[in-house]
Amino acid sequence: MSAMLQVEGVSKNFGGLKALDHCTLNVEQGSITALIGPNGSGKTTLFNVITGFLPASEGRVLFEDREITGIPAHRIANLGLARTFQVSSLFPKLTVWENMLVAYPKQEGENLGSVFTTPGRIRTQEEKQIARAHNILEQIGLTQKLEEQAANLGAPEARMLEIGRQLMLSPRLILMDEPSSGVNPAMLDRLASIIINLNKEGLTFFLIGHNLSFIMKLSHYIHVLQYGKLIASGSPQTVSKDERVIEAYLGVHK
Amino acid sequence: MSNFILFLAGVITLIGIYSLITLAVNLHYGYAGLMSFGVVGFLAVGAYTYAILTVGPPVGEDKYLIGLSLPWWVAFLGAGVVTTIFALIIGLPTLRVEGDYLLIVTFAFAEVIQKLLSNEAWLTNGTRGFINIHQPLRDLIPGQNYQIFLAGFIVVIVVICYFIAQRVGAAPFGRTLRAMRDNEPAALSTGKNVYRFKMQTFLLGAAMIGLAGAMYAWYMTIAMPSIFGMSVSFAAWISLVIGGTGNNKGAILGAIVLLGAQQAVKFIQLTPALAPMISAIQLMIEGLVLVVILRYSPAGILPEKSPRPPRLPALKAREEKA
Repeated sequence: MSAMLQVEGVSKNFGGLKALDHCTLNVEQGSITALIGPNGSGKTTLFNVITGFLPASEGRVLFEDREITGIPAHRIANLGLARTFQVSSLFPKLTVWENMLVAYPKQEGENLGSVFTTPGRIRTQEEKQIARAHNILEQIGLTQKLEEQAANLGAPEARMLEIGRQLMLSPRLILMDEPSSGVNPAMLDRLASIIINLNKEGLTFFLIGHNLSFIMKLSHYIHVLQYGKLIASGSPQTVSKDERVIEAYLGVHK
Repeated sequence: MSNFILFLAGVITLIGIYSLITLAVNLHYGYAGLMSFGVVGFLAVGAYTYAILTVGPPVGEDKYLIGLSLPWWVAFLGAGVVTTIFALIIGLPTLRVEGDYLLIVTFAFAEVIQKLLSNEAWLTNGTRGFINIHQPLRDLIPGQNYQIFLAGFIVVIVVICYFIAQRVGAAPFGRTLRAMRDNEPAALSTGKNVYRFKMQTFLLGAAMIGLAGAMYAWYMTIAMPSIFGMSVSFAAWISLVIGGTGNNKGAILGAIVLLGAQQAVKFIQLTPALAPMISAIQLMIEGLVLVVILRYSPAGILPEKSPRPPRLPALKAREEKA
């Protein structure tokens, strides 16, 4: 296995606050890697820096050996590195199928000239993509809600749709910020099996998680953050026995 | 009777012009979420461009220096092009930043334009502006029939622009605009170059308002600073809110309802002493229409509607069997 994502000495300062302090970590190709840590430890900040939503104060990020530090967020998404947000981030006034179709890359119909000159090619591309969207919606159980406005979906469905939409990008690596938040226990199993299946098909995952049992069950490898510093890395077994990790989560036993 | 037909032709012309402006505002705000209050500024740029390009050389007390005597269609297209250039200059610094900056800058732009029109007399002939503006094909259609022709001509242009707006709105381009309007970070996360989409939409809408400006010059046959006040921007915005943001049919319907209501006021019989109140009543009607519609249909008369999904070949086959 080789490192698909390399974070090298990344720091992020918000004024005097050091949200990330020289973080260095890798995400191996084909793995399900997790990022855990107490509230405020900088997990989401790290995701935002990797995906170009926040500029890094220091250090660099490499995706498939290519430096992506400083590249705008939309271009990083187009390189094959997708993300989801802590609170499901949909297009509320668009229907479910529109939410899905917004996300496929290289859309002919986004070119104002083509809209008038090659409507046929646009239609063919759209039909191909709606078929793809349909397959994904079948996996996440939303085919019945094709024409529902995203605003009307419940929290678990919204989460599923967000994940489905980002899959339309055909990413090779997907960063999920708390995928289990907003998802009820019944859907959680479904979500886990979706992640495992996609991983078997070759998609690499980097997950932030609060739900530790969910994370421990899924991940091959775990990184632990505290106060913006990486305090431990390793397999779920090693990490869960690590003194510093237990301390970070439960406090010092005296 | 012929007086009534002429009145009607005038109303249709005016509604046509406002429909086009409202369509453009809908493209800006309804689709792309761009709060642009510079509508009247673009309209003035379009009207004055048309006037300056068509007017003859200065005579008598005229203060302007440039009069190009160009044919109407060159000036008409020129109005669109020059307005687009103004939009580019405004868009470059403001579309990159988040929040309400665009609203503030465009608002200021419209005010600045009005002051420029009064003060840069070498270009605009100052507060006197231009009179007897050249109307398209005026020589071919004599007398009062021309008003009817102009109404028809403008309706044709508006219909063409409506189909362009519909096409753009229903295409993946329009879908991406609505997505970006709903949730900009999510649009970025799906790989959309939000700035590019905003800029293209801003320019397209401004070009449409520029053309409407030239049409406004045909209708008024004058161009002077006083007719390009903020009330024009507000009328377009109110039309859009009444008709339904994010819906092109709604934009046109809103212009018909608002302008229709304004013009209907002219039929109220008043004693000459009370006649000056008419213009005040017009504003009251605008407010009343807005309040009533927002009370009973907050999303406008015709709210935004998502298109149906393109049908799957597999689904099609299944339906045909059933």
